[in-house]
Amino acid sequence: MRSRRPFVAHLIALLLLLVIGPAGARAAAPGDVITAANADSIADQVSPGVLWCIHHGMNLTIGPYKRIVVPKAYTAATEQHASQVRLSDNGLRLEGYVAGLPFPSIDLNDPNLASKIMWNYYYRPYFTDDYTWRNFAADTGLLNPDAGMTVERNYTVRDFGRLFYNGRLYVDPKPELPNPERIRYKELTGPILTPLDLKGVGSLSYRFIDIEEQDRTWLYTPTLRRVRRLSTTQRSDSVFGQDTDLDSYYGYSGNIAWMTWRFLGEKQMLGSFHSQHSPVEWCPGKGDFAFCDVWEPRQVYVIEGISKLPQYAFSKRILFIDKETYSVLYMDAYDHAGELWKLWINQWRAVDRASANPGVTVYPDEQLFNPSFVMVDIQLRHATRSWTPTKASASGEEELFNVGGEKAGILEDHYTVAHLIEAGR
Amino acid sequence: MKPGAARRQWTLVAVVILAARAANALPAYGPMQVTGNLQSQTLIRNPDIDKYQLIQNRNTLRLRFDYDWLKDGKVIDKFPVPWIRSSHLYLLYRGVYDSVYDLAPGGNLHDILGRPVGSLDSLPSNVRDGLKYENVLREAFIDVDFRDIPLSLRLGRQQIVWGESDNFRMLDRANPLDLTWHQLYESWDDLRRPLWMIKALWRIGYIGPLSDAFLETYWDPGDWQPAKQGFMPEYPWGISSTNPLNGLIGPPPTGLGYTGLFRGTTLFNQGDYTRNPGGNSQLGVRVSAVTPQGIQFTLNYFYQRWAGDDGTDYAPVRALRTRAELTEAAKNRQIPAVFIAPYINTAGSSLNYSDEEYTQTVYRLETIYDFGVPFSDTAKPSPVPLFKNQLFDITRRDMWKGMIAFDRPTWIRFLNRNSTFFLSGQFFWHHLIHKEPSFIGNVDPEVPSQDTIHAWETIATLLVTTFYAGGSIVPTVSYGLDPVNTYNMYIGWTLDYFLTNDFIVRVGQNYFLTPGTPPAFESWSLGGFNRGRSESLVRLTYQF
Repeated sequence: MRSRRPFVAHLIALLLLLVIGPAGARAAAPGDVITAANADSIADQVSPGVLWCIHHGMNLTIGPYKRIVVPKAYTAATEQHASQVRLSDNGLRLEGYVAGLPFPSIDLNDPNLASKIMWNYYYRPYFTDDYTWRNFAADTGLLNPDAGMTVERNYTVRDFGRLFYNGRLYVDPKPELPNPERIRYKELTGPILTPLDLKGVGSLSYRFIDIEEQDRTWLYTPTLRRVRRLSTTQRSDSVFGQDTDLDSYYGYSGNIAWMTWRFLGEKQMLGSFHSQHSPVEWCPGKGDFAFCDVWEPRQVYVIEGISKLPQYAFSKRILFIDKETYSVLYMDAYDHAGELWKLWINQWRAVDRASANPGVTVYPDEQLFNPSFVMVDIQLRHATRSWTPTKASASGEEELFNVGGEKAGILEDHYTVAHLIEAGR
Repeated sequence: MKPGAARRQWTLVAVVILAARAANALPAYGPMQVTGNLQSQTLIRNPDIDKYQLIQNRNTLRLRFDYDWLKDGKVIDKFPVPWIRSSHLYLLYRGVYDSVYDLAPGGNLHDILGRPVGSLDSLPSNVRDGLKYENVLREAFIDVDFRDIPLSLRLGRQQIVWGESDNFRMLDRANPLDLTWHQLYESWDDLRRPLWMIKALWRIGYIGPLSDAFLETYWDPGDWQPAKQGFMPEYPWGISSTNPLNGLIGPPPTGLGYTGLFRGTTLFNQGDYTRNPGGNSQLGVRVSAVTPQGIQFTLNYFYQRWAGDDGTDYAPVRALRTRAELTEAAKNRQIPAVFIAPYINTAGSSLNYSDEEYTQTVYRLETIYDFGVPFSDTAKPSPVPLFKNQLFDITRRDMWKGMIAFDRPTWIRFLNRNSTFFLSGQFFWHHLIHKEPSFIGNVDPEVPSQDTIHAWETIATLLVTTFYAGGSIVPTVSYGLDPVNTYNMYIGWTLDYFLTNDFIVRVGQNYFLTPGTPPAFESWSLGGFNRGRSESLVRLTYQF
């Protein structure tokens, strides 16, 4: 009779591998500093893309897990409305959605599990009424093996704003603005302040609730002195040639219906949700393409997305979504040969105010501030990093949540083609 | 100002700016911004493979000042102002030193027939000195956004650009062009002549099922000027002809004793009107909205003087035919012709639509109908024998013009896996309604038959561009084909390389392929004005 011991031993080894990761790996402990030297010890707690960044100069300081409490108004809306939300048979449409989290109860055996998680991401907390990220900077450049990145182009932009039309919780009218066009949100980016060759460029986009309705985008181009309509299909195209693409913002900013989603698992991973530095602190030396801050263990959903759109740049995206906040820790994107191509990392900061400066907005609940993000093309060894506040920020408040147009400085009628024309110079 | 002094001052300004920039003293963002660039552009004309000629070294300083002086209803964040929500001041200065007028290269420039027309070296030094500087506050306007009504105003010297077309104009006609600037290698931003105007925009919002509706209108209370033209050899990149008035004005032996055109009008500059609200007002209005299907459209109307800068083979002068006018001209020793810029009515429309489902393409359309464009009519020759084959009275006719175009970002992954190629194609047409056989275009006395006006003129263009190296390398290729005039073609390329974020090198070339003879003063100038004008470019730009 053959012994059962080898089988049992293999089974135990496999289980140990799944639970604790590769041989020699252990869960990172608070106080640990993860560098290229010990990166493999946390290989199963970050995405392959983040691991690549650590091997190329990014450092993580491990901190303890801290619970993030979702804003009370959002929780209340979830409790009030979630029971009436249904997913259409094809999983592409929400029915009965009013506000809050569409699907608070996630069943891992649900055949529509991935879609429901992604709809939760689409209507995630914090981004409910309006959102402003202003006076931000962006660098794009080449990664060097032994020194900091060679910045090829640097941009400063006055505003990135979103005005949400449904699911509103704080600013009247709520839960929905007058909305004959069935808009989900309007998005305004610009004007670009520097460099001069792009000064004044601004874009306006509409995203609709109905998935049949394609996005609409207009761009004001100062060299033309007029507003130009843009095609919105190639959202994986790099913006002005740098590393980011429109669909990658925040990890994923496309329509949920444009991808086929697959649930890959739920696990504990490291993410930066209580970062200490605002303005951002870039890693030293060759790792300066990425932020250096505190990372903590988070419970995440791992979701794969494959585009339904023709000619999409990536064969798939892997999103790592925080279970508590439905925000993306990081996203890895693969080329059509199946090789890792690009990655996106968010730096989050759960606090109730942007800074200690007097006069900044103090929120009743923690908000998820986003001091920086980075997108890296690991095949070209090229990166784009963006951040606000910058060290030049006078107010200390460059990010605003659900405060209304007057305070945010972007009124509802700024989200119009007419305003793009008015502001064009 | 003496030329030498002007140059020294210009140099001093440049040095001060560079020093200020080095010290990061110029604010590029915040409520007050000072930005600009220094640019040096060199053009070498190579009409044949073994022929090279320096034709331009243009050194330009642009200084831009932006000031949010009134924000959130308060001046400088302190003093409340009723009614007004925000206001912005914009100033744009442009200073130019064309060193080619000092370098004064010899050789010969050539006109449209290939005949030598002299060189910069042949011009008197005082003429060259008068051409080599520009020192102008190009734009100066204030934006005012009202608090309680959805109205904004732009008051001051400004450019207004309407329409959907690139590089050819129909609805973009509020500002005439300065065609003494290079049409291919200088941007339309530099070519347009800013004018003192009042522009108002009323944000309507919804009109029934239409969204994003607005009404925009402008009034130019008299500042309007026609398109500015330059002749050879003074402007090697201007009209490829000598000034047709040469040999007429002034005493013999250089002239025929005329003092100028009738009633003091000046060619391509001033007609028989006064530049005030009563004699020279211009008006434009458009309404725009988006249909539920996502089609954005505009309806436009203009009442403007005819600027003569959209390619039409129009008549810039009218021969005098009445006894009273001829007598008056003879009495004042004026040429029996007058420069004209008549008022015309223009109705137009534009639309754009992005089809994402089937073609992933943006479609653009623009069309106008001009009422009463003036044409030279050989059936109405000058009664003055000396000019009977050269000067003609006009007949006015309507014209229908239009453009259809597409823009498509397209992946060509074996050439660029990171960025799409932006493909933009345009097809333009001009149709002259009820054309008479007696109409002719621009007249060369030596070849009077060379310019038969066609009832239809068309041109197709294609542009391709993309980004490499994080956006620091930007190649562009462009092509144009004129199927009506012997398939004349244009092909050009440029390459922008951002050596740093602030220092840009552009190199480029353009080629004109003109298989047909004789040349024609056709609408699009591929085989006419630009015949033999293949050129190479090097441009250095420092921006701050």
